[in-house]
Amino acid sequence: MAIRNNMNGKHIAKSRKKKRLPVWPFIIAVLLIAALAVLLLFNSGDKGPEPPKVKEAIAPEDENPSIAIPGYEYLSLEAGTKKQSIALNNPETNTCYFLISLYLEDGTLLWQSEYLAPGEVSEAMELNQKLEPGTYNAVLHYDCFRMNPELSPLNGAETKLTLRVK
Amino acid sequence: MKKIVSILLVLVTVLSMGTMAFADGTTTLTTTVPAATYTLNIPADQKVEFNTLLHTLETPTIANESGFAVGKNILVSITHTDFTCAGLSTTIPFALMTCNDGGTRLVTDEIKFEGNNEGKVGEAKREDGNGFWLTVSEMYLSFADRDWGKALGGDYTATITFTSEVVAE
Repeated sequence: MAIRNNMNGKHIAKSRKKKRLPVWPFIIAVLLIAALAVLLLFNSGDKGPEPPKVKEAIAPEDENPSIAIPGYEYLSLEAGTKKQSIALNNPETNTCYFLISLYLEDGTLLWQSEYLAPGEVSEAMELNQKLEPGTYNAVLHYDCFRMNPELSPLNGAETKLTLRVK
Repeated sequence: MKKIVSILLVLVTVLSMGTMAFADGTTTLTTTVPAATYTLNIPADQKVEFNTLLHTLETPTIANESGFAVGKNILVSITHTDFTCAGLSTTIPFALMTCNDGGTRLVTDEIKFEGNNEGKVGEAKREDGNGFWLTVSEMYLSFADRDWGKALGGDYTATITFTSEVVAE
C-alpha cells in the first residue's frame, strides 16, 4: 500500500489497484476453438465412405473372374422414417469390395453403404430422406473394387427395381 | 305351448339357413406372387493384350433365381467406357459383340434371360435384328487395328456396366 501526503499534510493511504488480467484474449480463444469445432463438424459430413483397411491384398491369380451381383424385383421400405430394417450384402463367393448406392429414378441418392468385403452385410439402411407411402422406381448401383491397397475399380452393375413404401 | 314354441324355433332355424345360402354367392380366392430375386454373374474385368482385335469376354449368367414365370424375364443392358489412360488424350474404343450358335456376330447392348414355368430363367439370349431372340454362345470385345496405332503408350482401363431389370414381356 503506497502512502502519500495530500495537500493538507494528511496521510492518505492509496491502495494500489490490483492489476486485472484482460478478458479479451480468453474470449478470442473461445471463439477460435468454437469456429474450429464447427469447421471440423461440417467437413466430416462431406466425406464419403471410409476406405477399407486392406489387411491382405488378394493376388490377381486368386481372384474370382466373376462378380456375383444380387438382384431384386422390389424392396419394401417403411414410410415416414429414415431408419429401415433392410440391409444388403456382398456375396461371400466374390473377391472384391462392394460399394452399394440406392438412387431414386431422378438421381437422388437415398443411401450408400460402407465398403463391404465378401460375406459382409451392410448396416441397416438409414435413408437420406423419409419417403411417403407409395411405389418408387429406383436403382441399386454396385461399384466393385479389387482388394488391394489401390482399390482398383472393376466392372460394375446396376439393378433397376421398385421401392414399395408402406 | 312348448310344442308351438319348439316348432317355431325349428322353422326359424331352417329359414335362416335358407337365407344364408341365398345371400352369399361369391367365394374369395387368394394367391401370393413371390418377389423375383436373382444373382447376376458378370465378368470382373478384362485384360486385353495390345493389338488384339477380338477379345473373348465371359457371358453374364443368372443364378439363385426364384419367382419367375413365362413372360417374366430379366433384361440386362450393357454399357461401357472406352479404354482411357490418366494424363493421356488418346482412347481405345471398342464394341461389345455377341455370337450365337450359328456363328453370327452382332454388336449387342442388351441380353435377355427368359422366365420359365419352373420359376427359373433360361440362358442369355440376344435379339438378331429381326425380332428373334437367339441364345448367346460367346461375348467379345471388338477393336479396330488403327485405334491401337493411334494410342500413346500407357496403362489403359475401361469399365463395363451391366444393368439388370425384371420385366414383363
